[in-house]
Amino acid sequence: MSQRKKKGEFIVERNYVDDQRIIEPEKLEIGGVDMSGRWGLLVLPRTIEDFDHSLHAMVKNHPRGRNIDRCWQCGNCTAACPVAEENPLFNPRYLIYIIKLGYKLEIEKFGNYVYFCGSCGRCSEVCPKDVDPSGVMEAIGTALRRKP
Amino acid sequence: MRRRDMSEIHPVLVIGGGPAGLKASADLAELGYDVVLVEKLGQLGGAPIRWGYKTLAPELRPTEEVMGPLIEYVEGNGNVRVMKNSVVEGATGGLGDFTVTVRNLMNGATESLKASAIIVATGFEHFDAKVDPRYGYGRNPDVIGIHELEGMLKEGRVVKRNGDPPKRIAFIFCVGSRDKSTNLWCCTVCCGVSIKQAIELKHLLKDADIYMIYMDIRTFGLWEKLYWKSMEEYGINYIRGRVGEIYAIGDKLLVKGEDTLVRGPFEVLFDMVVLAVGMEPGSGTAQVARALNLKVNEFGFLEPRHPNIHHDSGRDGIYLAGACVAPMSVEEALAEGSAAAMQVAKALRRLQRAVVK
Amino acid sequence: MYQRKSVKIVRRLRRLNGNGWAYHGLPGLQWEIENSSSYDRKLMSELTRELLEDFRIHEFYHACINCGNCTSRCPAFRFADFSPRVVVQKVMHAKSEPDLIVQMLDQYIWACFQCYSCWDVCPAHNNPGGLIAMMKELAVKHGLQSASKALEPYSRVLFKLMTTGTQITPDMHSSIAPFRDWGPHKAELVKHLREERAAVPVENLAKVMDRGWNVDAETIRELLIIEKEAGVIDAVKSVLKDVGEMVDETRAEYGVE
Repeated sequence: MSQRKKKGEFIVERNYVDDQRIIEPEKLEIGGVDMSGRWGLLVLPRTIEDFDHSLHAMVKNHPRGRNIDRCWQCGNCTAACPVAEENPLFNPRYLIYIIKLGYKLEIEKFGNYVYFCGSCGRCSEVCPKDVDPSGVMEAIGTALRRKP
Repeated sequence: MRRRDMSEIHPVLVIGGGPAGLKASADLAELGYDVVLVEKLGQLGGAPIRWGYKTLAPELRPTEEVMGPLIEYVEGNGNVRVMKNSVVEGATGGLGDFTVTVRNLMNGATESLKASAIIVATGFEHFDAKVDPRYGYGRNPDVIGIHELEGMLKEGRVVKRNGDPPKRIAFIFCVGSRDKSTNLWCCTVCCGVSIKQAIELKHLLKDADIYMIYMDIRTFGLWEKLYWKSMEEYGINYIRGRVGEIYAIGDKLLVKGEDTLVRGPFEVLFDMVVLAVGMEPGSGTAQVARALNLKVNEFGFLEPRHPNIHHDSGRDGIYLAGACVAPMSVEEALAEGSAAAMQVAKALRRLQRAVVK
Repeated sequence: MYQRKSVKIVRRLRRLNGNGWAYHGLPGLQWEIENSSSYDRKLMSELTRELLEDFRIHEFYHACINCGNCTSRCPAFRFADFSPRVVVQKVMHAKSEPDLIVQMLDQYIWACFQCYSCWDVCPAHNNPGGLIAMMKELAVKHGLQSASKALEPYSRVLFKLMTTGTQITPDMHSSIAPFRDWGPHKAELVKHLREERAAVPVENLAKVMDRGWNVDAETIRELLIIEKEAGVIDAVKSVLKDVGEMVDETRAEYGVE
């Protein structure tokens, strides 16, 4: 943790840049000029470059996740969710969105939060489009486990 | 002392041969009034025919089902005189006794007509996306507008400029709408129309991936079921965000923007980008407003006397109908055409009843 | 209550997910939540009040529908979890959530480098870049840590700007004390700079280096009077002590009281 903090510490907005995307070479010389450390620092872009629908297809084939396509991101599920109230990083609406569009980086970041779901079913009760978010959470969890 | 009979009433002048103008003409002709229908272009039908709309939202019924019988009736009816390629240059007088100058755009000849009342139904133009340079419309061949896609769909052949069928297609909503730099208003229909087209594309190109990049989905009224259907049955993807730039890379398009739900930047390659261009008042509307001395609001649409009563132009004997007043769908334009025809009939009946010395 | 609870959870989560991803975007705000507990409440309300009372806010902010046009063009957004849209949203809710504004002053807004592309594309003609500039001014005025950290590499530029009215001349690329952010290779440039510039057949290019430094004494005096009266020198002193003191010395030399 402490080592990570050191990387790019002079960046003012450091807390808003992922550690993984900072490249700070310890020893680098280009054309006789010393570019080590700070001088050679690179921040890689965090752009979403492709949609990967493989997880989405797995969720859709799951008996409880088949309604995922109905979701229109109203946020009723997250509003009703007792876990999300405690922990803002678990957000069923958001999980459905990133799985549906296949944002790989976001799934890597937030995918494991799907197991925070307590399956209380309050989301499925309030969902206006009958998505059954708690079922979808289960399906996403299964898909993530089975993912090759 | 006697009352006027029908033959003493001058014909009603209808400006614009789109859905509203055609409906007004057909209704008045059926009531027994003579009608002069002035159309700027060489064909009747307005935007739906000019751009070759394949089907109409929300039920995806062919446009011909609505427009075909109307055009047929108006062209075949003895009471309606259709003047194509013509514009109205000026009008003097008032209700019951207008003198109108109509100029033929083909040969330049002008003609003076008598008219008892005037219905203005000059419609709209699709927003020219060249005005907003960020989408590269006009520069990138595979960036097209929804009006152009509609024509392609009608031909049953949607291909890129190089002849390949597109695999990944993006629709960008609100182009030239809801923006202080271009047009401030919402065009009300292009969400529904885009979704309708996406469904038709899915029928045509089974394995195409379609992404709708929206900021709000405004499928009003019963059009909402289009939105639901597109997600549930056709698996069309919705991205909440906005596009900043589009570059051509090889024969693909790099679409750059923000996904506001993920708060992440996306830079994804697409084969084809369809811009949901909005509606704006056309040059025809501005020309008629000058010729007839009508009030125009700050957006360039014709301004009715009361904002909630569209047909009342503020000048006696002149009535408004259709998308020259505000952006609207075909069904609304038809209803407004009928409404304007009703207002004319009412006014002319009053004239007829008045006792002539 | 909510905040305290969240802090605990966040710490626990950090243990669980020590994988280096920045979670400060959606939906997490734990870094901000952690920080807010240690904030000076008085400073918080004062900063928010000053921001909302600034007359420019009515010109820079009209309404925001969260469309994302500004961010779609933002160069900083590509690398950091920074979004002008969020800045506008937080200014919009500044009255009810003053702590959000203060937390942004600490790190968030410094990702912006004032290119104003957001202003260019905003459909409501808001100016997120302008709002950020206002906030940066506040940070400097109140001597916040973030401002010192962000401005420190530019000490020389700042000093030159404040004392001569011009920013950079080419011979400021010196091999002895290069600007930190420009990197060491810039020192290479200096070696034959004067000859190279003289070789370019544009008259002004060679003379810039002299003219950039030789400013009329009356102009400098005027500049220093303005800076003194507007409180700029004091503000800079609170952020970059040495630069402020050097400017103060110059002020004394020119007899400005």
